[in-house]
Amino acid sequence: MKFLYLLFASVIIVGANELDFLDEIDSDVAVFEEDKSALNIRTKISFLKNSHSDDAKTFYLNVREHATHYLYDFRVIADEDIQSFNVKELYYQGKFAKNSFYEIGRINIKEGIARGYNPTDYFKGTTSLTLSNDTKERKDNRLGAILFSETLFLDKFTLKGIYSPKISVDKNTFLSDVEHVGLHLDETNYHDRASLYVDYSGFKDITSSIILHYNEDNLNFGINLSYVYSNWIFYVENSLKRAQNDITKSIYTMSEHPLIEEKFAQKNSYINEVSVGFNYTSESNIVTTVEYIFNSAGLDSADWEDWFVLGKQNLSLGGTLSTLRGKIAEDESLMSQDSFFIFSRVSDIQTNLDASFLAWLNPYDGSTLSQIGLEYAYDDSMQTNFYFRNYQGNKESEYGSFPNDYEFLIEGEYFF
Amino acid sequence: MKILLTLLTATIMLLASPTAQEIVQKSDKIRNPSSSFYQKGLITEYKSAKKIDSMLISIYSKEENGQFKTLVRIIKPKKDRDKLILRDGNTMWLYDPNSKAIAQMSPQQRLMGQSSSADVMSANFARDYKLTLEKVEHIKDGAKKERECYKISMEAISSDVSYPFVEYWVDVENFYPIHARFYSVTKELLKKSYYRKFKEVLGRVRPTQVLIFDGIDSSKATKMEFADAKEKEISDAWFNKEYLSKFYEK
Repeated sequence: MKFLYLLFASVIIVGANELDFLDEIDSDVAVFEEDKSALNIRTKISFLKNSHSDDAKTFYLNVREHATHYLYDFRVIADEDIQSFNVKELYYQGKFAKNSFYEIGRINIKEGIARGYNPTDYFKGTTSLTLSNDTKERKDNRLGAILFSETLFLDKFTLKGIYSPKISVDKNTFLSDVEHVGLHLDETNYHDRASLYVDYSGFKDITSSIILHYNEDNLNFGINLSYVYSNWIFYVENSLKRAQNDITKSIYTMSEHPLIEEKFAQKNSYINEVSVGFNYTSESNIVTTVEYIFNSAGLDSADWEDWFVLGKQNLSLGGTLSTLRGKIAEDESLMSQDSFFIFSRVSDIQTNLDASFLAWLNPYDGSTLSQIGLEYAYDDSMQTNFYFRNYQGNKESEYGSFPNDYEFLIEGEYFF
Repeated sequence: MKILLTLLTATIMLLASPTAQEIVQKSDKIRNPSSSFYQKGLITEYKSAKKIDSMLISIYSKEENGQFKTLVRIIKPKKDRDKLILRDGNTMWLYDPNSKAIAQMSPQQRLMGQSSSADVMSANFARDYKLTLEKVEHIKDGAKKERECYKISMEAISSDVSYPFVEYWVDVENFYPIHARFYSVTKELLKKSYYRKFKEVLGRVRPTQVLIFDGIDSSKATKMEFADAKEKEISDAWFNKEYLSKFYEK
């Protein structure tokens, strides 16, 4: 039979052109060794320039190591005004049984399927080391809380319980106001918190989890769902609670001015936060996320008008309102009832050059915070990043009212 | 008359061949070990034969009901060190230990050069595609050597795959995977791959290198090499996104 194949098989020679480079490609010798002794040290120098010419040069040093039973993550930040040392994480990891893992210490807990804003990210709030108007950036750089967690893996189910105790009752309003060297437990553990997570992976192409989160003020119910279809990922993240919203809490913390209270402070009510969106990967490897965020306790169009009218009518309130916005940003909350988030990333637009685009949009006033980023890797250890951030909108709009019109950020990173 | 005779003979020859399903099943067994296993992977990107980037990864795979679950740890470059990629079916997660962020990603998202995350994960062609044996033909393999191959047309029947259409060439003599061409929904050629450097790995001869070329610009190439393969018992917990922050490997 093989003779028949040889005799009659059609002879088509395919694949000749691409194999022209074979000798050069084969001359490369593969090295599979890993330097197991190296610590994970990352350094970054950044230079920020904005439209007010308030330049800032900052140096960051991050040391992180994950070993069999422990993880530590230290961060040093130094600029002209601040030198701070932070223990982002430091915890012990062990097993009660084969599929039962516990962790104890300072741990960063981050939850949520959404890309822009995570309603079920219950451990957020005043612990971010990055003062940025982009919530994603703040989320990436925050201090962990002291807690105990236990995770149980059961076939299609995963159960996780967390308890984070109250350690301090004295809480500073801004993390940036506190002493620069210290554990800042008053910021991360100022009330008792407990969470129960149930994750189910039994549905094909669907991921799902529900979360019950308790803190001293309220009980939250959260849900995360995603569905994959071809190049698309669709997701929804929802959190429902009966409590004061973050804006109201900030108002009580920052100011008891009757005018502000009358206009904006809502008492306990049901608060619903939803992030719904999709992520699409094109054949040319452009990854794009579009997300809509609803916060029933946020400011709607009329509230925003009141906000600016109040600031104009009573000049002494202008500073308070501005600080209030800073506080809400540091709490990693969103001000508006409705927001849109867009993020797009293209890898290797040129050799070793990645590009990204990010935008937050307020649909009421059309104002935007947008950012274009370029990241160039010189080699395995060194990278330069360039970001241009632009605030667009009139002076009485969410993003147009920020003091800066634009910011340039240039970063040099070295990875040891 | 001559054409008729050729067609008739070719038809007889195809009828005498193993079925497309049998061919691809045998080839799948060569590409993918059936046990749970560990190996290292080196992905190198080239432009006109000039090396421009590389990535070293460790890979943990486990078969469950004909489908592979895979966990990848990035070792190099240093900026991505210890990032983890987890795939279970069509669900993929990327974990960044520096921010502790877990993001769901698409299997089509590229890891480096022409290689997508899905390319480093084990795939089960026989299970995921409707297979048609088209013909037997001679092609050049990844060492420019002429080989007699079955040409199989593959059309996705599972949503777990990254490429809707594939043309696949399997060696008539030993069922080695030789060459594949991957197409989009609109039948646009996305990439071409050559399976190379066949060596004894985990009990049988398998390809230890895959060369991937861009479907449009053949000067863009990505070489995936695999080494240090060994059988390894892997807990199911490793393939759960909640485990990613707990994963430790040194």
